Parts: sequence; structure tokens; C-alpha cells
Amino acid sequence: MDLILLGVNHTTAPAAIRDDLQLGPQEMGTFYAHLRQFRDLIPEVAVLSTCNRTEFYGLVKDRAEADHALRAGMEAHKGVPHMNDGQYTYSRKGKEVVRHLFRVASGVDSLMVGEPQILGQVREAFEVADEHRTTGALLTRLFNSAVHVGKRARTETEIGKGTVSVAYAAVEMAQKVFDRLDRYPVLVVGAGETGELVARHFADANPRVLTVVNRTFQRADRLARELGGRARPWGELEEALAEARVVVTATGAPEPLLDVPRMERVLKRTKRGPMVLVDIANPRNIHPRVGTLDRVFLYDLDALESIAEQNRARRSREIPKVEKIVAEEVESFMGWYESLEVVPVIRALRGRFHELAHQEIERQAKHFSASDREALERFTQGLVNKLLHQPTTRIRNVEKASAHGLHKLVAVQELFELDVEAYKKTNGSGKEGSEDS
Amino acid sequence: MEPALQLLNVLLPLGYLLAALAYLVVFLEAPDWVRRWVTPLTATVAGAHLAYLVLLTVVFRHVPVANAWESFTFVAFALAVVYLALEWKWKDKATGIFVMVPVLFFQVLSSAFVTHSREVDEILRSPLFGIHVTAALLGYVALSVAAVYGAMYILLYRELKKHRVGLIFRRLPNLETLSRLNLGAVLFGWIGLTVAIIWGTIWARDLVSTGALSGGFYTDPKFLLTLVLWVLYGLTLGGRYFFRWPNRQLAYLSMVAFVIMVGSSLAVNLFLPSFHQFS
Repeated sequence: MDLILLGVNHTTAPAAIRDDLQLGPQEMGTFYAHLRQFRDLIPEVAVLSTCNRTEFYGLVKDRAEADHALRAGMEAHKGVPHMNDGQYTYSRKGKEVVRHLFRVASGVDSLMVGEPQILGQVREAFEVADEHRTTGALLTRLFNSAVHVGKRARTETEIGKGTVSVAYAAVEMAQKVFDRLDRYPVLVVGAGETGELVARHFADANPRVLTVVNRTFQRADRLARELGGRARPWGELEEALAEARVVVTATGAPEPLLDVPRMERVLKRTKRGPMVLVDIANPRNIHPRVGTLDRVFLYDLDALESIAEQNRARRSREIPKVEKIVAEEVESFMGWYESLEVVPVIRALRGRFHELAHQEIERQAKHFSASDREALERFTQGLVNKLLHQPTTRIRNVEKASAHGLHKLVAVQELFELDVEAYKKTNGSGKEGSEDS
Repeated sequence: MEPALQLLNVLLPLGYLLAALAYLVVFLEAPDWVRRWVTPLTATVAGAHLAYLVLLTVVFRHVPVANAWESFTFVAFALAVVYLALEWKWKDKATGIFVMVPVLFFQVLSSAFVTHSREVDEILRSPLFGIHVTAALLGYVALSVAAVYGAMYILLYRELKKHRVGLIFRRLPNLETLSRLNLGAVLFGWIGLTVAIIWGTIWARDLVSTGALSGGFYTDPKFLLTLVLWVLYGLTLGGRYFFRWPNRQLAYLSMVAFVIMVGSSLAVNLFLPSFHQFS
């Protein structure tokens, strides 16, 4: 059996091609149903499909045939021939599949390095495959390990730290000024599309009250309703400014709405404590000199882009640390994968039973004379050998080349908690089969 | 009890070293179990430290401030207590390393060089003196901690103004928390000084009436300096509570007052005669 990967992603295919190949939740069901027809050829398969990648991870009997079946299936299913176009796709096998999935889960293979969504998408891809009964012992272990690698990467390195989204950077800066945003009022000036995304991020932080002010009251009211806030007329802008602690401006005004004298008036009316101003309008709604005032933290588009860029650079510097974690985990997974062989499993099973028998004899040693103990040891060894005779014969007949055989070997390991790798190290490799698959 | 004292003298720096390392790990974003254990660990070490100070007082029959090395262990203890009180109140562990390093420094110095004597100034044997000196020490130490938080506030304030998201941005708590810690430490320190001044004045008047102290203690430079600092910090607090002074001003003032406190204390101790000298 071979472990394979076939896919397209943001480095091999443009967005339009990726969109054509993306499998939505509805399509997944029919596609998995289609794949189940090839159960003998592809006993285990999971599809990871996001806006940046569509990838098939499979345990297959014949690599070339499975590759063909997957490409043909996608063409029939999506009605586009892109998967058959070699320039867009890539394929991997064995250890490289493991490495690829671990890199994906840890975020280093993402378009936006370290983005948090991919880990959830990997987990979800496995759950969907599991629901459609196309997973088995190997993909279960592979995806569980991938999620583990993703978590390690995010806790042991700074790959996921600091936002790289310009819109969210404003919220992150406000969170570094205020202990809890839910204690403070947020004001959004302008109800157009420009400010909506930033306003939504602030709304998600549950501010004490979210107010929208716009020249056209109806539009302010519409946005306020969507964000769970309230609208105020344009004439009350200065009152609204004085009450707010976070202000997001995104109007199309050609001149700054907020200059230094106006801001000074506002500050006099506010309680003590800082104010965060986020200006995402172009041209600016807030004069840059307002940022020099005491207690005022002003972030315009340039500042937010610079913050996102600093975070991007820092995440990039973390990639080598993540690669090290990936390498460690790949070795660990491959250690387990290579232990799924007949001879080492039999050795580990017999070793485990004899070890337990020996421990039990040692525990009871004081109750027996030396000659009795020798007899007891012979008896115990004989009993263990007899008990293990049938299981050993059955395991010896397992076909490792079949998924069923692999699953049996995994089951034996799990049932008796066998550390096959340890037995391989102490008793020689006992390796059977190829390393790559 | 002296073997117990010797043992604690060795264990305390080790305990604070462990606490400082744990706070360092917390600062560098520790796993949850370190975050859970760091405060109970530090509180346990501080508890042992309190036992050490009580034992010292009982065994040598004086408040352990008879020499600089004895005072250092008292300072270390006061720092640890002030920090634990602030952490308990504001639930912030990220700044613990900045206080635990001085705690470790003072305790290591004290443990390495401390000597104890039963022959000390009679005044050191008074329990009233113990209360006065403890309040004063807690006050001064809290004001020093306030200066540390003030410095952190200013550093983060500048980073936020300059749109920089480097190490300071990532590791320090938010401005609001730093401001609360700064204000809390100033308040703690000011209350400590208030107790020390009132208690010391009442006690000194008693001593004057018994002839143990001359009537001119009001002009003692250390007493006057403490009064000046008390007024300075009191004005700072008043400005914050009644005149809405911005947090940044409070942060600067606590740093400036700290510099004045250290500079003038050194000058008074080194160059001016004072009855506040007991060794």
C-alpha cells in the first residue's frame, strides 16, 4: 500500500483554477460517494479543500491507477480538466505526504504564513472523510498527528502571533491599549463598505456600545442594525466622539473631519484615559497631527499596513523553528508507520508477553524454592508460547499490502500497547517492505 | 533555631531563583501549568521568608535591620509581598520577572554576607519600631515598584504611538493594566509612608517624653525627606483622582519621584547626621 497526495494550491494554480476545483460542503458528499466505488484501489482517502488548496490524501493499492481515478473523478465531478493539467498539480508519496500535511497544518505552507484557519480546516477535512467512512487507521493517525503538529507549531513558536490582516490590526492595537474592549464604546464614522470590515471586527469584540454615524442616517441605521449597534445623526458627531474610546473613520470626505482643534475639544469633554482612532479612509478623515496629541493613538492605513508587515516578517522568521518541529514529527510518524510490519509486531507481541510473565514470576519469587522457580519459568514460557501460537500464525499471514492487513497490525499494536519501535531498536530492525510506503 | 535560620538562609535565594525563572518563562509565554504554579510557588517562598524574619527577630531579639545585609533580606521580602499583592489585585503575571530579579538580587546579597549580632541598639528591640520600619520599608519598596511599572507604561506608550509591534508590544500587558499596577503601587507605597510617619511620630513623642530622644526629631533630615516624598506622592495621587491627570503623567511622576527618593536618601544617609541610624 502507498500513501499518496495529489493536489493544487496557491503556489501551483491561479485563484480562478483553484476556485474551479474547490469542493464545497454539498459537493463533498457526492464526491466521496464516487470515491467509495474505488474502495479496493483507494481504501482510505481524505479531501482537504479550501480557497487556497484542494488536496487528496490517500492510502492506495496502486499509485498510478489511484492517481488516474482521482484526476478523472475530479474532471467528471467538476466538469473542468484542470486536474489533468500537470502544470497545476503536484503529487507526493510516502514520507513526503506526511511532511506536506504537517507543513500545511502548521501554517507554513499557507498563502498568509501562520494563518489560524488552516488547522481547523485540516481537522474538519478529516471529520468529513470520517463521516463518509473513507478513513482508516492510517489516515486517522496521519491527520491526528497533523493537528498535533499544528498545535505544537502555534504554542512553541510565534508562527501564529500578531495579526497579518490590516483590518484586524486595528483591533489588536486597541486591545493593547485597553484591558477589555467590552467595557468601552466604539464609534464608526461612515457606513460605506470601506469601514465595514474593521467595524465588524470591533463588533465581534462586543464593545459596550457600538455607534454608527453617517451623513445619510438610513445607511448608518442599516449598518448599526447589522452590527448590533445604534445609529446617530450626523449632527451629533461631536457628542458621539466625546463618548467613544475607539473611533473608526471611513467616509469619503475630501478634507479631514477631525483636526487638532476639534480633537482637543473632544478630549476636553472625554473622561481621562486614552482614545484609539482608526482612520481607514482615503483621503484621510483624521489629520495626521492628531496622532501627536497626548492620550491619542492614531492608526491610519499606512500604520496598519506597517503593523501587519512587521507581523508578517516576524512570522517568516519563525519558519525554521516550525520546520524543525515538522521534521521531528515526521520522523516520529514514520517510526510508527514503519513499525506496521509483520515481523516486528510479532517480536513486540512475544516480547511483551514474556516480559509480563517474567515480572509476575519475580513478584512471586519468594514463595518458591530455586528448583520450583525453574519449573515455574519453564511452565510460564510454555504457556505464553501456546497462548501466542494462534495469534502469531494469524499475524504472519496478514497481507501488509492490503489496507485490511495494515489495520490488523494497528489493532494488535493498540490492543496490547506494543512499542514496536523499542523492540526494533533492541532486537534489530526486522524490517519488511519499502521505506517510502 | 539557628540551624533552621541557616537552612532558610540557603533555601530563600534558591526559592526566589526558582520563582524568577518561572516568571521568566511566564513572560516568554509559558505553558498553562507554569502559569498556574508560579504564584503559589512565590507565595510559599514569601511565607518561608516571613518565617525567617520572625525567627531572626526572636532569636536575635531585634528587628533585622541592624546592618545593610539584614536590611537587604527585609527589602527582598517587602518587594515580594508588594508584587504578590498587586498580582492578586490585578491578575497580571507577565511583569513578575521585573520584580523577582531585584528580589533575588537583594536576597542573594543578604544570604551571602549577612551577619547577626545580639548586641544592637536598644531601640531595635522595640516592637513599635518593628511596625514603623516595616511600614516604611513596604512604602519605599512599593514606590520603587511603581517606578518600574511607570517605566513599562512609558515604553509601551511609545511603541503604540510609533506603531511598533516588537518585543515590548508582545510581552508587556496592555496600557490600562500597566496604569492600574502603577497607580496601585503608588497608593500602596503612599499608605505605607503614611503609617510609618504617623506611627513614627507618635512613638517618637513618647520617646521624647521619657527622655530617650531629643525633642528636635522634627528636623531630622530623614524624617523631613520622608515628609517631602509623602507630599509629592500625595499630590500625584490627588492629581490623578481629583484633577484627572492622564495616566502617562502619573507614570512619569512616579519615575521622577523615585529618582528623587533614591538620590535624596543616599545624600541624607551618607552626608547628614540622623537619629535614623541604628547600627
